[in-house]
Amino acid sequence: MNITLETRRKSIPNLGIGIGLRHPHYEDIFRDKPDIDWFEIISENFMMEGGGSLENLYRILEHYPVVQHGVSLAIGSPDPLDFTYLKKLKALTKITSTPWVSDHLCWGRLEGAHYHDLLPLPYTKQVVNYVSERARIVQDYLELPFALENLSSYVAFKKDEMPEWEFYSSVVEKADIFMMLDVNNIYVSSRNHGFNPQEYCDNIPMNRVLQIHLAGHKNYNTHLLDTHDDYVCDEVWKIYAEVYPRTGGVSTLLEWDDNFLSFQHTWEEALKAKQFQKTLQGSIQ
Amino acid sequence: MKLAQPKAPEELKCVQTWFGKIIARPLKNGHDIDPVAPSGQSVEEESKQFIVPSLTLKPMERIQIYNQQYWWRLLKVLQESFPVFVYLLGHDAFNETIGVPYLLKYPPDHWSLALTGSRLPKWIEEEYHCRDKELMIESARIDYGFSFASVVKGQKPLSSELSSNPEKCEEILSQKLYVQPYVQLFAMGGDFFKFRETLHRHSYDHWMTHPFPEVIRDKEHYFVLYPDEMHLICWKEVSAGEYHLLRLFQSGITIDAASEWMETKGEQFFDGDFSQLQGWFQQWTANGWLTLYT
Repeated sequence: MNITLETRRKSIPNLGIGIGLRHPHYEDIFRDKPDIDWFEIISENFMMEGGGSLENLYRILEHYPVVQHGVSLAIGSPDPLDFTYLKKLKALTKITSTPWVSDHLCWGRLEGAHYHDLLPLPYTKQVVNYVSERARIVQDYLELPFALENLSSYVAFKKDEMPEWEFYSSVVEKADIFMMLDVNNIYVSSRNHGFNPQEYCDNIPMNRVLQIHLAGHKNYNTHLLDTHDDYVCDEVWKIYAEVYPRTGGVSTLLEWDDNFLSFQHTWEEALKAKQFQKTLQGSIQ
Repeated sequence: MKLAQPKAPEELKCVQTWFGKIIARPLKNGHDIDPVAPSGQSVEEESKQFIVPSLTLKPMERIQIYNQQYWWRLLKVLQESFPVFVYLLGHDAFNETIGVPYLLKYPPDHWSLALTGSRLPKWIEEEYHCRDKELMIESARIDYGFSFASVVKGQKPLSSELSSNPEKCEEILSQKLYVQPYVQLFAMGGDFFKFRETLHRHSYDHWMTHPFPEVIRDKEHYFVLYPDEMHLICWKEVSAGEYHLLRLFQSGITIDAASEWMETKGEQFFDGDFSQLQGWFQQWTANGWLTLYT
């Protein structure tokens, strides 16, 4: 049975506004059980047989929806897909009941070595074909909607045949998967590569966006670095305000991974997203 | 799982092989890209073949960002996993004498970043040379023990087995019991746990200007490292007798056989007083240290 994209998209819930589940906030969360819509976890931090991390996850799952976001799939690596890894990832989805799974449109593994970074791919037709075929395999194997996230990148390759938005769109459409759109990454890359974020947003299939990431970055004058350790800047909020209504309203998440704020302050930063969602609410009313 | 997977385009592999080799080369002075590529050619020239410049950065400066991120991320993980080394050496010396050489010998080969330091205790033992090697080896073992105890899966504890089926008590006397994998045992020629605890009472900066505490090396010390009911990793010093008995349970033994061992081979550890076994057994069971499964 061929289920249309529209039907699949409708079955994906809008969870509201969430934040990344990080260790420094555990105590506050367990003690106060704050009224937060959902948490995103880094899948790899919980893909273990047992121990305290997994026990903490069970406690979170008693009160909150949890969505899995990965960093080690390495969809664009030349090594074959690692089914030992995928098996563990899938086992975790059974525990979390995540409504979808996401990872990055990158590579990070080569001949068995793991670089533990989100390394950029050359934007060529050959790479589109290669990555989209692998992404389709992953989605079929996981039996869940699968989304790839756009990167913040610092290099562009001589072999590039197309702009990033065309590469990204081609991969997700060919694979028939979804987009985990990081609007901070759009901004960081636009500054590092000199493109217009508006052009990016105008040329991606918004009906494939199932989640949005927000984050802060650092400005090193010669380039921006995606650090997830600062407030979301005005330009990024502007992109969010532009994108959010065009997606029809999707789950939004703030990532904060270093120089941590208190839980309350992190949550307040994430809640700022509400004021930029007004356009959509207005149009619905 | 065998599944027909697409073959990576050769051009892609070529770019990635070059990229991977460049970013995994150690940084010069902990910050700058090595100007000589593994091929022996200039990185500046080589990078122009693959990468385009931006308005502000040359191709070599652009790939340097990834080179820095690779090393800084992995070194940070090692520093967090082995804090005693950082206390003892400081961040820079740790990176230079332990972090970088270790990562060159054992680059990460697992998808979990948390396992980056899994072979560091072995590396210290085999490759690290210093005046107090015992301190370095034991510190590595303890720090890795803390990480390991927080991720390893336990079996159903004996306590839950007994609470769900109290009639089982009699049967258990004749069944082999095991120590949970998250309970780790240490026999050391000094009180290295106390030393570690004292270090952690102050910041790195404090120890830059104060003498390190002394390791008490008066006798053989025995320790157990374990997660408590809140999954916090704790440790406690135990007697030689308790340690050796727990070692027997690590490979599996019945209570009857353990009693027999105490009275025969283990006599030296107990001074003829074998009454502790019952108390220890109750405590181990209550702490969830024992299981029927291996």
